[in-house]
Amino acid sequence: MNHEEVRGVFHDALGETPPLPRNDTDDIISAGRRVVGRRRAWRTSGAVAGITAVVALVGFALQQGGARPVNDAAAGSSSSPATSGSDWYIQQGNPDPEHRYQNALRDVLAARFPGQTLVKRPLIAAPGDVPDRELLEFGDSTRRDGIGMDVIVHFPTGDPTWLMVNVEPVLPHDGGDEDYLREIGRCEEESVDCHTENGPNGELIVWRGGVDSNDGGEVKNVAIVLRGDGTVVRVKALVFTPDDTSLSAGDGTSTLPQVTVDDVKAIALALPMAPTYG
Amino acid sequence: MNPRQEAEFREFAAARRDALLRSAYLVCGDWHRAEDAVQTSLVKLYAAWTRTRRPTAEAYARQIVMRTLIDEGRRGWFRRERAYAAAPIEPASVTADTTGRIVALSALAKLPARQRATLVLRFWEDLSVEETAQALRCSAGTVKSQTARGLQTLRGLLDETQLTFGRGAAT
Repeated sequence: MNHEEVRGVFHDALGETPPLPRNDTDDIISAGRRVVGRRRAWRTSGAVAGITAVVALVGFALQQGGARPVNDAAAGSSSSPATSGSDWYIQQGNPDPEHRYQNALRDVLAARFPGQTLVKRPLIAAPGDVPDRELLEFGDSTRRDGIGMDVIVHFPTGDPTWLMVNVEPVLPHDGGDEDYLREIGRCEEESVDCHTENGPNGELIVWRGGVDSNDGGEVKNVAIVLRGDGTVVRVKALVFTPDDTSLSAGDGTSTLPQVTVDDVKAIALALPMAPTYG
Repeated sequence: MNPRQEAEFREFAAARRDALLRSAYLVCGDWHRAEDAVQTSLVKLYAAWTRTRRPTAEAYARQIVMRTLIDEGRRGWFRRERAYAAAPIEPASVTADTTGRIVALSALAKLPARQRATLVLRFWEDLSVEETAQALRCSAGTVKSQTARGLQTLRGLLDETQLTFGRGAAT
């Protein structure tokens, strides 16, 4: 098909003019103002948490003389053996499930990759822009029924790994749970084999790893876990390169991410129960 | 955000919203879902407006729309809405005037989401391979392979759909 033929298909599909939008520009601006206000409030609480974290860390170090055990992140604990900015941790008791979960992810990763540098990655970034530095995002502005988190794990040598973590509720589905997970994992669309196993507490795990020839040689290790709390956790690891778009070396020259299949499975299983969605 | 910046955002949103909406519709086939995605992107853009360079504002908004619509990690969120993918109109009720649209919609609905998005960005929005890769958060190699595969799949789907609807409407 040539360029004009494809455009013709799109013209046909669009048909008549779009329906009138349900919301106008004023509604968008009002919603944007609320986001800005909420973010400002979070940052204020984050700054308080940072100070609290330093005080707590010093006190803890004096008492224990060593690194604390890494766990129970949802409680908003404040130190870590891995290197990262203090803005990872949000004030204890913060009511936002997003930020409680951010702490949880950070602790799980710190335990899995001790001593490595963890960097929050904006979910959306355009070249040249100063991106939104928040780690967490809900899927959209109205549904509030899932969480997405991106983190870059830097190792002493080699390319860092881009981790994409999603936690979302299980939706009603036809067929079995395994088919449901395989659909989320696009197991039927791609050339990479998916594997199924059970976790230690009966979780259902679908995982895959290696070069995906259908995606231009993209290399990724993926684990999708169906848990007893009615959520699906999905962890995807890719090689991360500085231009932020090349997720793979491409064309069959890709290298495996340093975060392995076993790592992504362990991370997905270790994350705590899903946050309460508001 | 000061009043001048807000006025600039308002002008941008008014000027670009329809184009974003049309592209979103071509990717998902549902006006309501398309509108949700565009609204989400513009709200996020508003929040980042003071830090966004104007030449890249549209790319930023487009990236959010595409992420909202096709990010594989979030596919499940819209599973119920995607149930429309099968052609909603029986061949017997098709008129000649609507045949072209139904054939196009039916074929696009069966195209895998990432291939559909790639074709929309490359052939509807006329983006380069690199710009498309940025919008979809993937490599240039992935864009090329998805384009080739998408064109091949679309051609087959159009032939198949025309057999179902085209001939029925012509009689």
